[in-house]
Amino acid sequence: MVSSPIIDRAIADFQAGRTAEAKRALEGYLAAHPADADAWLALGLMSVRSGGVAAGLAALHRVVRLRPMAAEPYRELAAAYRIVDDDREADCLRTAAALERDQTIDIGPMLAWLRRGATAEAIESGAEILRRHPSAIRVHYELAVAYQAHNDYDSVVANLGAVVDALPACAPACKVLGDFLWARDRLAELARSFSDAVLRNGTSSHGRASIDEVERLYRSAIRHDPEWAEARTYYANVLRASARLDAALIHYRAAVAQAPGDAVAQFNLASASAARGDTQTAWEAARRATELRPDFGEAHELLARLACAEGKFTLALTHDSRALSCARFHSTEAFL
Amino acid sequence: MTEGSRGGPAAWRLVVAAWGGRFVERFLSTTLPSVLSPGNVPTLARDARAEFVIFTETADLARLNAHPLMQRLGEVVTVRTVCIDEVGGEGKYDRMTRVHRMGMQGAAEADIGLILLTPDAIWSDGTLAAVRRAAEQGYRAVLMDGPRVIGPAFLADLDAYRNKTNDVLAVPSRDLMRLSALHIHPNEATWSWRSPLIHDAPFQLHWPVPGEGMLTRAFCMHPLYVRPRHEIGDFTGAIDNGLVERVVDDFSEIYYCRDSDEMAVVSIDEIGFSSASIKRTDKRDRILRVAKWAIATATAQNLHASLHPARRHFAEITERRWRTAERLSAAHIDAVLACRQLLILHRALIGSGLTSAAGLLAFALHQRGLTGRLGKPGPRTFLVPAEDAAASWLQTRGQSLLVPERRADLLRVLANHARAGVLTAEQVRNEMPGIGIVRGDLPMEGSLIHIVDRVLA
Repeated sequence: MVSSPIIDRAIADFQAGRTAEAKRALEGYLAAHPADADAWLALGLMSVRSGGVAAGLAALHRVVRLRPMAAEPYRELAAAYRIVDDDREADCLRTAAALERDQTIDIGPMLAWLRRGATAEAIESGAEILRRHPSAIRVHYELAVAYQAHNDYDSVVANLGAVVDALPACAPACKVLGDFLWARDRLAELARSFSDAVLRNGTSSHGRASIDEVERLYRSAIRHDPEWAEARTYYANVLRASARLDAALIHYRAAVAQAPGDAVAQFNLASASAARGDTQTAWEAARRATELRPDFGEAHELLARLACAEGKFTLALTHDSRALSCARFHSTEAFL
Repeated sequence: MTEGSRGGPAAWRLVVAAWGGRFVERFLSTTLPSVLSPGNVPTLARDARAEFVIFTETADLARLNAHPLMQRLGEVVTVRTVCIDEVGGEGKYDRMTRVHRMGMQGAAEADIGLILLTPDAIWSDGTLAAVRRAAEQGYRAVLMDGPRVIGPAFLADLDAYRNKTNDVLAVPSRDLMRLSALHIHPNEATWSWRSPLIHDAPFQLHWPVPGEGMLTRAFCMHPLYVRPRHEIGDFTGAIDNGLVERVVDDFSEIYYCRDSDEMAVVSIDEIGFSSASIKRTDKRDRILRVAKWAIATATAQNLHASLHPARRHFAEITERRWRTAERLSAAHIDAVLACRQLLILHRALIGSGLTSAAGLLAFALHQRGLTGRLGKPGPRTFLVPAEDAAASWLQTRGQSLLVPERRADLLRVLANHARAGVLTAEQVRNEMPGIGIVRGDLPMEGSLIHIVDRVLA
């Protein structure tokens, strides 16, 4: 664990019985430094040990998101789940044990290549390690990272699949594998239909999309990290794309509740609510999205459509004009 | 095309940048074998001075030099390798631009025709022979492009065309187009005009002709051949976006390949390449999106390129069907370019504080189907109501026209404010004596804007 004066002071306060003060200090620090895994870990441990298991779990989930290949957070998650008799304990124990065994394998050379951005060399190095240690989980994980730079979705999927199989509690691996599987299969489906249209009588080489596995992965990610708004957003997008609007809305609402400052989450909720006919929710969420991102063209377009439908034409004109002035917002999370 | 430029260049220089194991492998297994086919480099270099320059890294040199096809290449042209270990750049694309600049150095002074190859493409047999013909007719640039395909499956099928003795790939163009259709990259699908999805960079558009191929209109094409008059040492950016303008004096010096039977290329990519954002769309939305992209990215040459459709076919052409596709695609491109004009107008209105007129224009484009009524692009005269006049009209008579049922009436009113052709303020006053011009003769990309004192309802 990397030491930081603020974390050290908070730990000292906690050990001296000043729990509230310690947690406040960490929360304040994390508001400004949300990517500090050590601080989240400290907060998680303090929360669990002071009886706040739910808050402790949420903090520990954040550590996993930031350090998915570290064994310690899964051990602590298992301990917390044990307190509340939650069956996710088993997955966490299995994950922690797998990662602890994996720590004995030296992947330093591969990581060095990755730090230099030499992904081709990293892949070669990783392949060499796998020849000696076929089940090296962290190598599979880092290979997935490297293959992303090569746009090789098949290899990303294959390597993340190995990680997910070995680490059932690793929500990030489940979620990202779902992302790539969905993207790959959706793209293949798109190519297939175009290929068929051009060839007319031919058959293209592309396969068909498989949604069940994608959903299973997202559900697993959410099971092991229920507070992860981004995972819910992506899952909801898949549900919506397969015409399950009501199920999508459940997760969009949850994502907004978890991340009210996320403009895309607000927009997705707005868009889905509009499709459901809930114009009030749609309006509020779209308006919130434009408050968070004034240049969110698609949100302005939605507001214009909603205003138009209610006969508020002056307002529609304003939002249409804003939409036209804004560049398109190309977030992959936005369902468009 | 000027008379003085007729006749080909004094010499040829083929340039390719290939570094890193993956791209060197691809160059050696695909690009090099295909350009060595009889109708490519051997024909280009016949009775001419030619060199083949490979920009690579030191680590890749041994592998390149050891490959049998490099020896074969050396029998046909002079080969030079240039190590670029010291060439930096902010990312690989910037580095590529720097390398291309190196490859183009000295070409103007020595009247060298540059063939700009990529390391991951297959060129049909005869492509470079066609380039030579175009160059000898005096063209200063040859632009073409081809479909992207998914690598592994495509490469497996390609092997059937590999000469078992010398490894050369002589692929007839129609076979190449058929293979590309079988293994088409998903991005190509998003560029189909009928696709329910659209890519966030729609730099080309397709219209399938089922059973025969597809018609393509591209804003950005690959400059396969350039013959610069002046040194282009300070060129920055990708070569398919801005280079050609530096090479030609006018666009008549550009040869656009119109038929894949003449020149064909296929690029190999992984499925995830540039898949950053693919969104749902419909026809109205597609026109708006492509127009917006064009404003942000397309140069004047890119817009010119979109007017030149290319037939990419794997079967015999049924002329009637392709002419239909060309007419249809022309109408769609007209809509995109006309919409682009209106987006520029909108921007000008916002900049001038004419927010009510701007809002009305945006409303008509988004909500009332104006994208389907745009007509041909071209110089226009726009009569824009002053802000107080437009705002007042919207609050009174104009309100009733905003409902869906009065869509046709609204569009008619809007049409009153745009005339084909350019009329000066004085000409407008003569034609429409009752109209007060508040500010006139405001230029906008070949058109004119006059701010008038009323809504022309």
